[in-house]
Amino acid sequence: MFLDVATNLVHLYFGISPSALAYLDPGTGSIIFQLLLGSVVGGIFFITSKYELLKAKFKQLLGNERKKDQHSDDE
Amino acid sequence: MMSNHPSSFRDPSGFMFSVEGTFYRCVNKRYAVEYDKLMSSGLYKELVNRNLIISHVEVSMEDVYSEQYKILKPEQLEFITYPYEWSFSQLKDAALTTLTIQKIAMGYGMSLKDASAFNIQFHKGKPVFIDTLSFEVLKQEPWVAYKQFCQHFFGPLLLMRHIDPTINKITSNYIDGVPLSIISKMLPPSTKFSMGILMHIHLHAKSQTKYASAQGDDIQGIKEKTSKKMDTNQLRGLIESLISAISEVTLNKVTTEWGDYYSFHNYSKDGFEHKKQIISEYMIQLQPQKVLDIGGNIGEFSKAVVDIASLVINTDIDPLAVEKNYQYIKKSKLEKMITLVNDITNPPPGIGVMNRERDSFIDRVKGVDVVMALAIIHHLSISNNIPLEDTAKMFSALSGTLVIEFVPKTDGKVMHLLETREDIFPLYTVQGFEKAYTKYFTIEQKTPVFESERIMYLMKRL
Repeated sequence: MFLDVATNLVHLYFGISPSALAYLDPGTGSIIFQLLLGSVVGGIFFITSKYELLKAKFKQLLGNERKKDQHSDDE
Repeated sequence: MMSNHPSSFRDPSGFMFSVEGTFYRCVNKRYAVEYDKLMSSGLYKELVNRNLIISHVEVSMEDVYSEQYKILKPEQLEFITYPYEWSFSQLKDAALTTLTIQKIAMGYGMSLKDASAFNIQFHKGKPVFIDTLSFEVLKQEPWVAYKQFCQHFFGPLLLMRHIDPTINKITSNYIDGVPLSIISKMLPPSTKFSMGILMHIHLHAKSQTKYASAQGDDIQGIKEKTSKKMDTNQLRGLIESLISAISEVTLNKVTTEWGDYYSFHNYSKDGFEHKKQIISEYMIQLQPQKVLDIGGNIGEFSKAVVDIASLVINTDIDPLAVEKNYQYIKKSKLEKMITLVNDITNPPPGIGVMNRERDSFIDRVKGVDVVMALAIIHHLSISNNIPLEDTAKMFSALSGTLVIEFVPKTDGKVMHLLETREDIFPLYTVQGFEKAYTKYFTIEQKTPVFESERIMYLMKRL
């Protein structure tokens, strides 16, 4: 899957591009490009959002531990 | 009398119209589902609470259009500016506002179907989205406004960053955004090493040109490709990637002739303060609503008016001076000043179909209560060879009241202008100035500025 996307992107980068003033709406190229890009940016988004979630949970846990410690110190 | 707005014809969801100077929006029946979802889902409420969209009220008005569903009266804008008149940060903030709205909308199961920079206006000092009918129900499909977003926002921002801040004015030649193939060719090759620019501009441009020339058998393949789905993570990833790419673009710290103008002006500290005082005194007498400050630089003298007038439109030829003023407006939460880039010797014309989709600068400012033209007359008459009488005619066409500063040839700034050229301006004297201006105005007040040879005038149109 990743290899497919990478091959397509490399092919696009080195491919010969004709003039932009062609007949079809260039929006078509934008749609197809997004589908290609989707797996890259979607993957990054998935990983970063999970990482952020983990980080937040870890902070929360750490915060609770600290509170507990403070509480026991007070006692 | 009702008239449809000449720019409001592309979207079949509805249209803008005006009745006796008040703007309304007609929502057509075909957009009923989307409009109801926008209003009932909580999306509209959140966007209004966060000052991201212009608010509206539904009004009852019969017989506007046979297909009408609702008539909306939006909060009225004081003044319209266009993306080709914005400084770098104005365009960047408008871009981030659009993406923030898209991100919030996706959370409510909706998505923007347009990402035109013309859908953003500066209202009470902040960028705000004005097209209430731009939302559609979110589908698991590529973002339909992606191309438009890159052409209207990301591309022009990169041109300003990598080529020159003044280049934004060329975007008026491309009413639907600068084609990415052109942006890709204009940007330096080094930009291909930035992931965001490589993806959203260079590769995106290549994809557009590749598929735009498809013919015959290719078409079937394209149809199959474009019918594929994009899941929510991918769509969110695309928006996050654009937010990060836009956030990373910053303007190089460059200095211009104008950006540092006030460090090198020809006033003493007292003279500078006196000029501010004169302007305040004139304005207190005039009590204007709208004031147009032509050549207002970073807004020093517009600020002297902002507490008196209801709106000050500050314009300057230098995008970096406008940038500084915009940063000030943002920081000090100034609601009554709008700043934009404008060369009064070549203001933006009307553009689009029949030159009527976007109004010319002159049509938008005509009828302001006061025009301020401070320390600009020597640039008009000496740098640009515009006869004094023609400048008077121009100002008289814009407003009935003029506050103007005459800068004589003995002033250091004018001497500097004449250092490298022949003095072909024998009429450029106080007497010549007054003679030319009294053909169009009467001089109500004349006040020399302390410790300088400059003179301030308050004039009324004949």
